[in-house]
Amino acid sequence: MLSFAGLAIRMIKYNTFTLANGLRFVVHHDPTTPIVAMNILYDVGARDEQPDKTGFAHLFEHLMFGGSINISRYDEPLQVAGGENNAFTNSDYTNYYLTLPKQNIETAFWLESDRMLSLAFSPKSLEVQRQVVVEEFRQNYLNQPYGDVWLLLKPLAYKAHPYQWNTIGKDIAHIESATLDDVKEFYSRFYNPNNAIVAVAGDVTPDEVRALAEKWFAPIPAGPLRLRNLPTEPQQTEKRFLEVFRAVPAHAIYKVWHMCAKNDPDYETTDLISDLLGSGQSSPLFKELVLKKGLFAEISAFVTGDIDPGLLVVSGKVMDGVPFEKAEKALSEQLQLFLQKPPSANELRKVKNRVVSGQVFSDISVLHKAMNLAFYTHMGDTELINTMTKRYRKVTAAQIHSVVNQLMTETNCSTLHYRKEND
Amino acid sequence: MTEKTDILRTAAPEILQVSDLKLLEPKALKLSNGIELFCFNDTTQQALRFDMVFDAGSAYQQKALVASTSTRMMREGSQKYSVGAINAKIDYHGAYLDLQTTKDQCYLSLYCLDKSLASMLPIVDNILKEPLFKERNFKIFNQRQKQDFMVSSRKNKHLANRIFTARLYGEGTTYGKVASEKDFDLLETADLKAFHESYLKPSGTKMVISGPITDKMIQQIEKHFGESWPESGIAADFEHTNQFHPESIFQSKEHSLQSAIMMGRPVMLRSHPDYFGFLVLNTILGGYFGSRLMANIREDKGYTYGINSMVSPLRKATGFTIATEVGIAVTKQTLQEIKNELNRLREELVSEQELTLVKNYLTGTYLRSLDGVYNQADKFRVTLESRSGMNYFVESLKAINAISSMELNRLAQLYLNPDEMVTVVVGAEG
Repeated sequence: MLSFAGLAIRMIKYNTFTLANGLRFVVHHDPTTPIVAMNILYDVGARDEQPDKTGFAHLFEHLMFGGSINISRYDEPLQVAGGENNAFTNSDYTNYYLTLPKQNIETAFWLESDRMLSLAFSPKSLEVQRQVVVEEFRQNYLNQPYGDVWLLLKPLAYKAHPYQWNTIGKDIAHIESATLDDVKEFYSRFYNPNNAIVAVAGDVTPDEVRALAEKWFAPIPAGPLRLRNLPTEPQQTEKRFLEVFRAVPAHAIYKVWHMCAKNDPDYETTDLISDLLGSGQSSPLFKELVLKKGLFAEISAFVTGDIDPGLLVVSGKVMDGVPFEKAEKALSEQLQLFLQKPPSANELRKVKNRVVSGQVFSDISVLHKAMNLAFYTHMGDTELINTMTKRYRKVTAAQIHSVVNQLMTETNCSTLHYRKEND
Repeated sequence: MTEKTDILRTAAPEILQVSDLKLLEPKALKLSNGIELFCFNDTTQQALRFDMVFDAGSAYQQKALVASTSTRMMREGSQKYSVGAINAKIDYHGAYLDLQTTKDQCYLSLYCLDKSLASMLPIVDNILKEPLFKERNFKIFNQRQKQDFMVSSRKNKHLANRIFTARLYGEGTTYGKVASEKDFDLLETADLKAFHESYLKPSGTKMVISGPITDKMIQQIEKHFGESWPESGIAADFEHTNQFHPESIFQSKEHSLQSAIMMGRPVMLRSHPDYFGFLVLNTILGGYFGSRLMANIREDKGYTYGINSMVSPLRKATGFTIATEVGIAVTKQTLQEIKNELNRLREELVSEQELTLVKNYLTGTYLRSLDGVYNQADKFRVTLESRSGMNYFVESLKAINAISSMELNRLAQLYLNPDEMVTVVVGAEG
């Protein structure tokens, strides 16, 4: 059968430069599109929050749209320029991105530099966005079947590291009690040019970007140097278990194991383990437990992909009518089977092929390219955008077998039984 | 590089109007059985997208769930390939096969690397021509989709959507039929086989391929879906007539933290002269982040994480919908604010400034959604019925940019009277 081992994915060319204030730029020239994408990554995420002020990085992301020092509304001028934007916050970083017709690229520099310079800090914006985030909490985590799963799993798996809380926060009260002083303090600590990376992709040359960067971003003063000093999660030494009952139509099972950090040499191996185990309908979990035995309605495995040591996750919804214990036993057996022998050459080739094709699909969009360039620069090596798939290609079946057996032990595992009420 | 000077940050950089949309028409070919194949070629790419469009939406079915189930179940086993073999081959090639059903049509979309196409076509060929709909596989598949449905039914948003859809087009009408839990138990493999036989066939089917296309690929497509797939005659079209009357429906749901609100009415068909103007009006009201509904109900009042309005054109009807989820304590206030915004559009002219903003925003949206051959192929599908080609988008953007405030006001008075809409609330009224 065909393998993509020899497939040369087209290289993505880019230029990098750093302004005197420490703001880093990555530029990718793509002359085939009328759209230009700008992605700004701020190196601050939920892991940087105080335990009594969680959900702040995400709340802050909302406030970044509430007007900056010289521009009362962020969205309006961008829309006048034909642009569109959004943002997301995760445990590791906060990411803002926009696309607009290339003719109007300077509007992006004007808007983004102003909110990096200073915000308007309007009390009204804080008051409204606190409410909006509370509604987001309700909509996505509380008023939703299985919505609170990660609110339960993270504190079960993490006892020291700030990954123990979710990006939305661990308690609505933290959001509700945020003050304008909190906001200002957070901004001055994290929203500085030397704590950010700007990636620009589209039909624009590095020289053009450099000139615009000097004009709009260079005058912003650098902030204090930051050293991140987060508590390390101690090795888990006992198996952990939590059972909850909820008003859901079917039982669900979640199992998580601590895994390595994103820049660890074993990261790609672990990522492939999750693919081998439970990504796609041909994976053994899906094939055996869903298609063959009909015990689960859905099941999958994935890694959280965090920068600090993250989690390997297996998540399954039990088929209605199947006794919980029966489903769980079958899942354990399937996991045991997976530990016994290394993957076949064919299986390993399959998951590597999927990584390669995934990269090709992702590189189609100019926005994805800008996002990836900013992220890899943040990881410390922009060239990862071209070398990442090579790292996956090198993983051997023996490595898979060795890592999975170190990782998927009972004492490294937290299990959540999410059971339906009145069953 | 440049000399540092004090820049004036309060003044926006000059905005350049982007008005010209450059779009090439796809190359149109015909397979030997009459199937039309449209090609969007871009040799710089490595990925392929191959779409098939069948007139086989849920509007054609005689029994609930039949169209979507028979379409999605094609990949659960065929004469030559077991479900395991199909999944293994698709995954091995890092490919994706999407099977989707709307009210009008069913889509089969294959995404793969160019060099995988030759390995993927025999599978697509066989699942399309000889799916088995095996009893055992069906039972598991159907149980899974029923469970999915039951999970969705716990969400106020989904409950509201079912009630709303039925009222929007009229209960019992072709478009107004919605599935309920018991429909899953009534479904049989015989229904799936019969539907497949009647509707998933070459006559009337269109295909679109985008990416680095070679002559050899076209020959392979001809081999699989042309010469070996005889013409079959076109199935009878469905009938639909809206039966709409305005009303308000409130369904209480215990323990709700939020109420799901939907409001709307049927509007003009895509071919109607008012259509593009109405798209602009919809954008102003609730069609983008800066819309009036978002500005008022999220950004000013903080009642919701999001609120939007949309226009959903089908072949024989067009739906207009406003949707949001809000805290239960502010349900009534939100309904009032939505009415206020509708009435404001009926009573006051939209300012030139706001209109320009929305026109520019929509122009940018057109550029984005038509960027690259894959997006173009995606958008092209909506032009198939009118046979207007990619020029449709050039013309519609011209129409959008020609709209005046007066015209928008006329449309608002005609279509946005809140008393002429249906309102559905699922949750609690606070």
